[in-house]
Amino acid sequence: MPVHSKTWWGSEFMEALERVMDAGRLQRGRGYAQAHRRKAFKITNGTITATIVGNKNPYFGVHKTPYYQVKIQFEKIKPAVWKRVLERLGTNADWVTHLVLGEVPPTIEEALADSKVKLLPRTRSEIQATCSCPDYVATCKHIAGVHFYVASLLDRDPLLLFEFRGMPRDKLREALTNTTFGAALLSDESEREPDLGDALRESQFPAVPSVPVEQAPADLRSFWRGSPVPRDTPEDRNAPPAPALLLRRAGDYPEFWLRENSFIEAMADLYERVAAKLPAPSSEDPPIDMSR
Amino acid sequence: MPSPTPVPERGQVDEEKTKLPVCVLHGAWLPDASGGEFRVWAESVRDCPRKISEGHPFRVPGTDLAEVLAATWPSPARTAGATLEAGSTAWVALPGDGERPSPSLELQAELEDDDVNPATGMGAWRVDTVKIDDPMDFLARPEPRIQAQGTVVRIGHDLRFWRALAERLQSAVRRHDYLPSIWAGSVPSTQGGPAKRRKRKATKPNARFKAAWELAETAEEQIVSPFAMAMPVACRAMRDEDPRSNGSGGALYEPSALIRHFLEFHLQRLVREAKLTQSIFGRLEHTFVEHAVANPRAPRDDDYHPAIDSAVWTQWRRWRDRIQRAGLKADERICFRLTDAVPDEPDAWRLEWLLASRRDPSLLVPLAEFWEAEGASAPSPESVQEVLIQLGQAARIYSKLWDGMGSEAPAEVVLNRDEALEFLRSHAPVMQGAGFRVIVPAWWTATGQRRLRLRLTARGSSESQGAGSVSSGIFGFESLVQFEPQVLLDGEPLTSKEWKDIVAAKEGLVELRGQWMELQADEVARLEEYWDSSSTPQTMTVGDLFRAEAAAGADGFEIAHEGDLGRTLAALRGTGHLEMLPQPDSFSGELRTYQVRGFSWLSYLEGLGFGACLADDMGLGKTIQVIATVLADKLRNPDAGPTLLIAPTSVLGNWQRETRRFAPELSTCIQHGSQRAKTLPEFKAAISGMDFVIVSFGGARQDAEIHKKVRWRRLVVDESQNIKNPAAAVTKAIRGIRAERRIALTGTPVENRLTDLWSLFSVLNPGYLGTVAEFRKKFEKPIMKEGERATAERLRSLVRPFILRRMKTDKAIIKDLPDKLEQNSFCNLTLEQATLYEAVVRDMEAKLEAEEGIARLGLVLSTLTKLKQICNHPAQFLQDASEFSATRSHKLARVCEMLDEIAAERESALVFTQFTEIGRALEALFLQRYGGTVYYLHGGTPRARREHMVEEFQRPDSDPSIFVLSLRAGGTGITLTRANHVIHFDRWWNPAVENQATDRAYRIGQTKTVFVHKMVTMGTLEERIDELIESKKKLADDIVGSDESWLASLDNETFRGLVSLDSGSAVVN
Repeated sequence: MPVHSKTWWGSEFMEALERVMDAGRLQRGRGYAQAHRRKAFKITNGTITATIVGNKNPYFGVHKTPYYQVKIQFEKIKPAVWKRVLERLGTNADWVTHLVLGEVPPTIEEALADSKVKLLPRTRSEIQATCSCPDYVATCKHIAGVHFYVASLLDRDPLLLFEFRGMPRDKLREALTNTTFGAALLSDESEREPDLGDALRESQFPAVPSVPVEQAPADLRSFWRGSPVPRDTPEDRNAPPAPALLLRRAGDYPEFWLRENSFIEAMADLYERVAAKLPAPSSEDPPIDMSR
Repeated sequence: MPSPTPVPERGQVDEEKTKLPVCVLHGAWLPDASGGEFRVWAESVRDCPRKISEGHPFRVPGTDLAEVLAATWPSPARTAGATLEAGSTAWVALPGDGERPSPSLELQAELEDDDVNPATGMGAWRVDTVKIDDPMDFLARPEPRIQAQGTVVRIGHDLRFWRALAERLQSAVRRHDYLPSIWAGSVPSTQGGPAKRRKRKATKPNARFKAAWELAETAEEQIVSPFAMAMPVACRAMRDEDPRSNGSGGALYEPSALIRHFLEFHLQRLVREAKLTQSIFGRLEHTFVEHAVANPRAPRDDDYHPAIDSAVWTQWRRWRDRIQRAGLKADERICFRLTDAVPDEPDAWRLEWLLASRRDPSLLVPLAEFWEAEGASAPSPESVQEVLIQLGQAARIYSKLWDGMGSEAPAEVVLNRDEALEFLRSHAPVMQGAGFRVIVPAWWTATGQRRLRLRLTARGSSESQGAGSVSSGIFGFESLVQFEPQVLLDGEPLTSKEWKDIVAAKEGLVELRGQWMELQADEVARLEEYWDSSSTPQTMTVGDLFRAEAAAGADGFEIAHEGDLGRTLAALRGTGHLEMLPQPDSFSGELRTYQVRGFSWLSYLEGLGFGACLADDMGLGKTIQVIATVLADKLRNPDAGPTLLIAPTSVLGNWQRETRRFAPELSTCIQHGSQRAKTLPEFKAAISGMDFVIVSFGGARQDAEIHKKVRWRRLVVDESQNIKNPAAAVTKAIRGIRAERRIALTGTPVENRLTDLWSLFSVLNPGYLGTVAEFRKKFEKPIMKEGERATAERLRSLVRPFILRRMKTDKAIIKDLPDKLEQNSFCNLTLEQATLYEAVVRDMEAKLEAEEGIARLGLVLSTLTKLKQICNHPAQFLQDASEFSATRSHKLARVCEMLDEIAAERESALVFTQFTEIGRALEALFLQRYGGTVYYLHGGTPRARREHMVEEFQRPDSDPSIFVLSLRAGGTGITLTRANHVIHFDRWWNPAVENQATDRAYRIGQTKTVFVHKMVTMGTLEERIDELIESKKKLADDIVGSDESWLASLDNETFRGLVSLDSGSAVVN
């Protein structure tokens, strides 16, 4: 099975499509997920509309670059079911935490157990997709291309799924403000964007300011010797218990990581390689004295 | 205290101006916006011949500096790292007197006082610099050799500071404590109205981006401020241009900023220059990280990376803030506490979540309470979010945590028994490594750990009845003992039900007697081995018992002994009572208490058939403990046979001498050099009737075939570090010697490389530690490669019974030692020395009869001087600039061996001589041998300089050093109590003068025992002087005056007797 997506929900989203498409089209669809194929793309009220740049094909009488309109809609979850989901969201740390960290809670479907419609689309009937291209099948490569693209958006923003299923962000916010966890989730939403202006620096390395020289040196010793340098402990010199621990805190596949291989694994190898290239730590450990 | 007596210094060339050219290396980081340069400069004792305007007067010229660096810094190939840029100079702000800079402290130690100007203010001078291309490589190298091409190189503390900082940065990199980062730079406005541009910036800043690396904030915090506090001012005093010209008013960099700059710059280089594999590059492609590493295949865009835009920056920044936030903003910190399951519910281990405040880490609030709080203390959305994020981050590392989060007030996750064990073993350390606090049950921690112990109660078996008393004779590794096993927990034997539970559980967490503990499968299996057959007592050899016992500490074994066997083994282990033997009747001398103990211990081990290593500190008298042991054995078993003693050449004579002195009854012979017996029959004849046969290591190698064919009562290896190499010919030769009893002596820890230890034991107790291959596999590899402490501990207990090491700092020893311990160290002349000595004596004899009056006095005195010079070193007498090497003088060799041990103990020593040329030669030799901290004080040393040296030497935080002093100049007035060793390289007639010199160290302020070592060459004038001093009471004080003129009053015959060479005891080549 081809890897479509870096997250489990992204993959499942694509699998739904896989079930209704033949492999050839699906593969060709991948090419249509590229940015230059997308002339326009927007999501309004959970409906995706896109203009996809097709190929000229004189054999089929297509002599000018064609533009195809793709529209994808998902079956909406009933408001009563949503109500239940949101109630649960407000009281379930597991879900909120996942969402705060930008993930779809793996157990979220439990809340939809008695609903016909799940959060992630599984069957053809849940997705209504149309394309203006002349292809005779219902799901053409252009639609597949848009799907691929949507899956990559979902990887980063799972709340989109809510939107597709009829729960836009503003309604979500409204519904959640009164619960402890909901407020926390939305507090993240409203988290101030990093300010590029504040971060700008004139030069890559920090400026090193000068301080005036006192006319008389305080004492020759502090001029030439300073005081003893803090020694690092043997633990300081040891390798960490697991590689790249610092990065693990933020999870794999960060937003800027568009690759399909694991960010953490690639970085772990990088870290270990860099460390291996360092000279061996000077060992000042006392010798093992067998006679003591 | 007697008034100081002036001692004329003989053979003193006039106060020379020629000094070893010394240069002191300094280093500084020159930061700039796009990077920086590490520059090295140096001062020397000479004024710089090249004049430049405002040049530092005694800087080292650039070309010389480059040469010195290339010659002294290890691995010159990479020190292409140091390239000299033509005419590269820089300004340094230095203390000075307005005209000239003051020399650095390192240089002051080398200068005459006249050259040290007072520092009254700051100035700036230009110095020649060498730019270091690869500072991290340069700074990480081991300390350079300090002498090259006649130049003594000192490392300034400023340069040392950079070395420490570089090491710290590398530690952070080794710990993966850094992140990929994106640096956002403003685009410099080149055209257009500034006002308009500023307005645009306010909405959307005009930025360009570059991929880079940044240190974890926690790591940076730990480095910057402590290092900024410690930084010598000299580190931040360098400028590229005249600091006074640009009107900035400052010439020193701000320390924290300079350190940050250094760290940031070199972090980039360390990562960027590490050669990554294609596989790593491949997995970074098309991400910004790709631009932060040097991929040879990727297009180079050195300055900015157009592929990175503000959207990527924002994504990165958000990600980065999430990681660094724990070190930053939030006060809440989640921590995790595992609580024992109660016995009724063994699968309910609560992993509780608690909140700690960063401000008050001891205050722990269960998360359950956090959620319940109401009113003003109700959790704010921000703290809720913080808690959830931290929980989520922790759950990313330990996913089981998610299971506890499906509630409104998540506060814990419940683990079953296996999960709890898994958590303790694997996840807790990882979470801690990721910065979370984890509290584990006390019984899991190293101190609180409960272990099952196996008690083997051993009894001597019928074959070795009565084992344990020395008189019963050989006991040895092969004797059999019986034992009964018993499994204990907390000191109490297990009941059979408890044992059944354990066997059923096999491994994992079990609850025993109301407390949990961890069972390890291999431990249980091992216990079962013994327990199964518990009904019948088992037997094992003493060797196996020792090995099992050594494993005890690590494996939870405990060995109990009953009866004689128990006492024997306890005595061996040093826990039981060791019977003190009376010192042998005919031993002429008095053993100190600890020496009696050592002698008794040696006799005891010998008697049991074990080889023993006596590893007392130098000066505690290993020699006489061995002599007493040999003597005691000889008295009891007169016909047992000779002892073969193998020792370094420089102490052969001392051994003979000390044996004769303390045990005149023992007959000794030295078999060494060209006069030795070279065939087996000759050798047998030569040693017939001898108790002590003394040979050198060289002889042991050469005559291995002969020594092998003699049945020795005992083998003694002195300075056993000489057999540390198991493959060396000398070790193999000694291993082949057949001896009933074996003793090794060493003054250095029986250490460090484990192979050394194996080698020692292969001679002492062959087979005990297995073959060398087995030893490597079982001990060396696990200890050295995998750092297994338990294995190290096991090895330690395996060898401990056979090594006795007392240190002079041990409380029991201090009590037993006088405040001052004087010992003669006897050594022989080399053949070269003896030949010269005899020639001088012959020459004197020829002239003596003919001379009278002043001329006779002159001849007497000059002869004395020449002979003393020869005893010191041939080069001193010949004055031909020939090599001052230890091979030409056993005395020098011995002194170097002693100083090696002193240096290894990190102690300081004074070395007195009456000859300036020897003082100078010793200083040069010691500098080369022991690095930078050697001082030399002589009659020409200016007062202020002398005070400076004394002050540096005495300073508690300076490195231990060697202080060479002329007897005349250094013998009075100063306090050098930092030293606890005093070596008199040559002898003076008047003990009062020597004692006064000794008193530099032995006086108020001295906290340790002072060891005084007097070097005496045997069979020579020096030995006669020593005898004179020893018998001084018999001589009127007025005869042995303060100088040597009284010698002129001796008649010719007496004088001849005083100086002639007793060739019987003198020479060992």
